[in-house]
Amino acid sequence: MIPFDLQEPASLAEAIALLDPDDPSVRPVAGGTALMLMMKAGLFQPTRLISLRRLEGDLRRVHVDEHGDLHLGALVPLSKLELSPLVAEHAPAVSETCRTLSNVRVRNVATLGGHVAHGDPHMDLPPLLIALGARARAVGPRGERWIDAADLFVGYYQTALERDELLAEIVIPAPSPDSSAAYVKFTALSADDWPAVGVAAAVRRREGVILDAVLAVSAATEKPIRLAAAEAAIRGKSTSSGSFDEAAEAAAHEVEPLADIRGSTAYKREMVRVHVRRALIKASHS
Amino acid sequence: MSTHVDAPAPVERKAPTTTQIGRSIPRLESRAKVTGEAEYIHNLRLPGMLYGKIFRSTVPHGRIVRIDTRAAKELPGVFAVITGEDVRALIPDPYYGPAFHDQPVLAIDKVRYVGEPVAVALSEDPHIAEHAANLIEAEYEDLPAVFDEVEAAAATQVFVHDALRPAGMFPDLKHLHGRTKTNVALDFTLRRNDVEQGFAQADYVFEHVFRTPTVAHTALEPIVSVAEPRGPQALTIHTSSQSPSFVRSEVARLLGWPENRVRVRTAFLGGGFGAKLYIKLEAMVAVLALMVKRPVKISLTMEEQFYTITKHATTVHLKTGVTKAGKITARQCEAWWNGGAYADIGPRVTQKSGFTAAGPYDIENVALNSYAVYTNLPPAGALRGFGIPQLVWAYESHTDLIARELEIDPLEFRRANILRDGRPQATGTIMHDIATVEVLDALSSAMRWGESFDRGKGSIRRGHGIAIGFKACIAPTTSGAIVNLYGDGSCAVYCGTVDMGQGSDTVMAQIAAEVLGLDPQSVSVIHPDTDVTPYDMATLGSRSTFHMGNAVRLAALEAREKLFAIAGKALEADPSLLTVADNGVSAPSGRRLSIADVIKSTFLMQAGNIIGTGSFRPTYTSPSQGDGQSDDITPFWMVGAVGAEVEVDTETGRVRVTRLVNVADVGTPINPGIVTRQLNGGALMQLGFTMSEAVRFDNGQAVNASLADYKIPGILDIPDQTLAKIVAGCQSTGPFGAKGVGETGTFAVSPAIANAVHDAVGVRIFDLPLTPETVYRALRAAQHNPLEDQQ
Amino acid sequence: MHVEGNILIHAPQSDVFDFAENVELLTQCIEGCRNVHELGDGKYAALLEAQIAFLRMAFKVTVELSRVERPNTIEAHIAGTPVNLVGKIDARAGLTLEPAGPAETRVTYALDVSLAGKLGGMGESVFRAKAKEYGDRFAVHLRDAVESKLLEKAP
Ligand SMILES: Cc1cc2nc3c(=O)[nH]c(=O)nc-3n(C[C@H](O)[C@H](O)[C@H](O)COP(=O)(O)OP(=O)(O)OC[C@H]3O[C@@H](n4cnc5c(N)ncnc54)[C@H](O)[C@@H]3O)c2cc1C
Repeated sequence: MIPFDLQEPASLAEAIALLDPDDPSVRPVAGGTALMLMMKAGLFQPTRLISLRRLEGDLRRVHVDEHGDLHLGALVPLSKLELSPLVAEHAPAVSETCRTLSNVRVRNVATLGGHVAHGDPHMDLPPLLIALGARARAVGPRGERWIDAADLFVGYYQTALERDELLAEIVIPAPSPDSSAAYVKFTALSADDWPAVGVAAAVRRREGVILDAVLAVSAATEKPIRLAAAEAAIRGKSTSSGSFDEAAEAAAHEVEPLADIRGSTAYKREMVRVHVRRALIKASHS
Repeated sequence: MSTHVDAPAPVERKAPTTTQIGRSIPRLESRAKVTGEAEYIHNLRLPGMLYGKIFRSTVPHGRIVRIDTRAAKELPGVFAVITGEDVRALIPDPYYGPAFHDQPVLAIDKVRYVGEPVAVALSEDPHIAEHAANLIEAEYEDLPAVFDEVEAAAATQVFVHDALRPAGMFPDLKHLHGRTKTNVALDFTLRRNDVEQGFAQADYVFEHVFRTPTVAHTALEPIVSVAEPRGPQALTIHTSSQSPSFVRSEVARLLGWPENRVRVRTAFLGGGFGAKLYIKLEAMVAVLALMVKRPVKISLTMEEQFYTITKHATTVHLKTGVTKAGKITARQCEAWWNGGAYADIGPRVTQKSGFTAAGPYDIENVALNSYAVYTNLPPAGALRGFGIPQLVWAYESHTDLIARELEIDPLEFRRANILRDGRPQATGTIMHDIATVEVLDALSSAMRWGESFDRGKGSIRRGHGIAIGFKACIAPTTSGAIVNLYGDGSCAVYCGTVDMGQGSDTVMAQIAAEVLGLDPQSVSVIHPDTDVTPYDMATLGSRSTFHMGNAVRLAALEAREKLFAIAGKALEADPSLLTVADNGVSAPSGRRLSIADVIKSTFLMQAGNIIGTGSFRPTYTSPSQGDGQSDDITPFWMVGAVGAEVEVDTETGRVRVTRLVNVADVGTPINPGIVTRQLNGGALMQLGFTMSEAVRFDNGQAVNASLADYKIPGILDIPDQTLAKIVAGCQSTGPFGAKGVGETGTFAVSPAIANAVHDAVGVRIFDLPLTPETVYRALRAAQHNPLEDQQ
Repeated sequence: MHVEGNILIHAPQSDVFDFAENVELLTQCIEGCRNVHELGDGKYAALLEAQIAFLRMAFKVTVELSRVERPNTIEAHIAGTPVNLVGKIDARAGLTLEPAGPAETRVTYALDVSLAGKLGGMGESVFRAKAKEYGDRFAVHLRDAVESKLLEKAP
């Protein structure tokens, strides 16, 4: 590793001021679990890192506001999401997902902000955040703005965040009483591996009919994406498994899986099919 | 004075009162390890020490046209940049290896695999050394490369080495010297009776081909070595090595020095598994340190371990003749071992494991061919099992397929053909102290074999499977030990066995304590230091409990005889009637003296030593050239069987092992707790090699050389139930009846799981690992609906 | 790693071929490829800068047309090393041109890339994911460049 400048600002404003919109070799670092892998590989050679470890306050908080929306600070470690009673109550699928997300060592250090801002399509939470209709609050020199999770992931390692913006929090809207969500993770190697395919489903249903559904897939594809055709295929249908099969079929057609050591394109397409169905079953039975 | 034993001594009288054998005492070093006090070479820093970073080849096979080190040398803080040509100036022929002198300290003229060390940058700051290594440029003239072991063996154009260079040590490699135009480093042949006739007698003949991929050791403490010059004529090497004695003699040979000028020492190892054997970084740091006249340390990263040593990928072709009644009449086996660019210990694996390739069965007619093959991949060596798991994968998958075809219960089929105590193995050696039948019986009951079970429904299907393997301990090898009683009666054992997590310190202490009537927790075990500890061949191949255990026992016996001679006078008793217990010596009269007082009685104060030495080398007959026959091929046999219960998700191909039962013949366990953990540890390591581990290569480049992408089992992959069962046995020549156990748990895991998958869903997997995609594709193929790779 | 794709170009096959066999023009369609200059013998040197999100990687490469068979086939060999990192990139790119109408050509590209060193050991997955995108963008640039060249030519 080539020496670089490490800054540890004490406030969010200071941190933002240290970012450089024109220089990709200046990056914020939170838990460092993702960034360090790239640095050790020599793929990323920073000139300056802005550590967020001294930042306090809401960035580290999990709370529910007066509308029932769940606020998750960007510096909250994944293990806290896993164990927080508030998360378990308001977004049980998030707690559950965290349980098989990597391992306890990584979860103790890795932050939600780093997890999302990294833009790595192999992450577990992004499709779930999309399905839950979450929004991200980004703060930059021009103030703050809100980005829908569905618009956050623009490409491989690429997010809608500007280089001089920091992710401050993720907000998951209060669930409506007729909705439920689930995430299914499929690993091809060890159980605590990155997913080979991850599918999240959120459904609203009434009397055995799906009013609408949001389906998102990650890991198999270049970025986490919504499965529009599959969503359309299930809308207004009954929660019987026949209609789930149709949605699964549509999903298998609309994805373009990337082959890697975890599976070929053809295999991942099949796994998208299987796991879209399983995610729908899981979501409509929870 | 040392006791040299050719014919193993029978078990001596046991200490009358306390017995330390069969006690699961805690490991001596547990506390030091959990408190972070245990010594590892990884933490060693010496004054003036330089860090080396290796610049590695990026082509699988190429002639070195130019190495440009200028930019690296100009980087501020860089002490030196050394290439193979610089090494040659110090050592004219800088090639090393345990079987072949084929591996250069740094590449010379040619590179033979992606990742081969080409140059080293040195600096007091490891980050500067790393940066400098990135500034080195090399130009290569690409040569055609060969990666597959079967193709390489048959190659007529592409040769990894111009000529074979066997190391002089092994008589059975002599005929290979200077051989050219071949990638076959060793071809081992075994013939027993006439296989063709055996096939003619058979009602059915079955043929299958099985493969295993390259896998990695992934020791958590990566390989690390430090060389410290003591003037221009002497050298200390601190290294995470499993074979310090070999390092000393090989480095001395390279330098043209007598062995007594090279001191090699180790500390605890953070895992070894065979990766830290022979020469890894030691020759490199030794040469660098002598060149720059400063201590030099090189510590590999996890990634670099993938470029340093791996386990052989294999292709194994089996053909078996069997009668309608299920008697095996003949077995033929051809095994190709992908040795990578340098032989390392591959030729030994090829031969020492090769002769067991027909399995633990009583087969009249056997023909085995085993080829160690050079390819343009990273070198392959020993990995927990020394080639046995690859062979068991083949012969136990094959055996199961035959039983199925014949519609004979797989366990009964094995029982009917099993090699029993007193019968000759394929080499002709008569089996002794081998509990094959007892192991099968124990497996049968542990698996509740024959009882019905829930076979699952929907997309989850269940099945169970078994497999059994065996291994001969490597021979001939020697271990020496010293047992030293100090003036206060405390005891130290000096032995070259490396404790790398397998618990050898504890076992050696138990053996010495048993003989001398001491508390094993109070015995200290001096870690390998070739200036202090006697010669030991290496800590490998499950040999230490047996070989070093015997040496320690003999050394302790000698110390005890000396102690008794002195005590006899002090206690006015016949020395041959004395006994030891609780740190003291007792006479039949009831008089008793502490060991300290016995020693004082002769040295007149708290002073002096009572030293016993022991050296142990079992007998051996080397297999004859051509037919591989020998009447004494090994000092002992290890037997391991596994039963697996699995769940297969037919929609994804994912296999979950729900229960894994390991049954082993380990002789008499000295420390049953350690034995059980060794069996389970070995089984879980092999579980990774079965389910997910494979180093994937693209044009010779390992593309998953990190724990992020090369996945070893995590806690959630561990079967709900993992059991180790020890069958009661006794190795009559072993120390207190013990035999080795470090590898036994690995033998039969892979085929047991594949056999269980077959039982569950009716498909056979021939190539490891059993990834979901592999199983899924097999399921689709079985439904005549193969998965198409459309664009 | 292997990626493939195709694109329809509104230009006659011979125009597409003329364009593609000109290394200096062709390399303009590769994103981040600059400082192209001829070394002689049909070999060119270039600097290839790849940007994947915030990861920036520069390669010193040589480009050479290894096969030129009018009217269908052009193959290029691109080889080089990354700047400031031990590694190697070796790519073989094939273009197959098929007429798809009087003034239309279907161009199929096939890219075989192997990476060695740090890039291969750990960066492979990153590059694998990007290779397809790079290939597709190359195809678009090729189409746009050929079509705009044709427009220039048009009276
Ligand atoms: C061994 C291992 C296994 C793993 N397995 C899994 C798995 O199974 N499933 C899974 O989903 N993930 C897995 N991961 C990935 C893990 O989830 C991420 O590494 C982690 O979430 C990143 O968080 P961090 O805080 O460490 O990020 P960092 O490494 O600190 O940062 C990651 C990126 O985000 C940027 N960043 C960080 N914080 C902010 C912010 N507040 N605003 C803007 N940008 C920011 C950084 O600049 C960097 O680009 C695994 C990681 C490891 C090391």
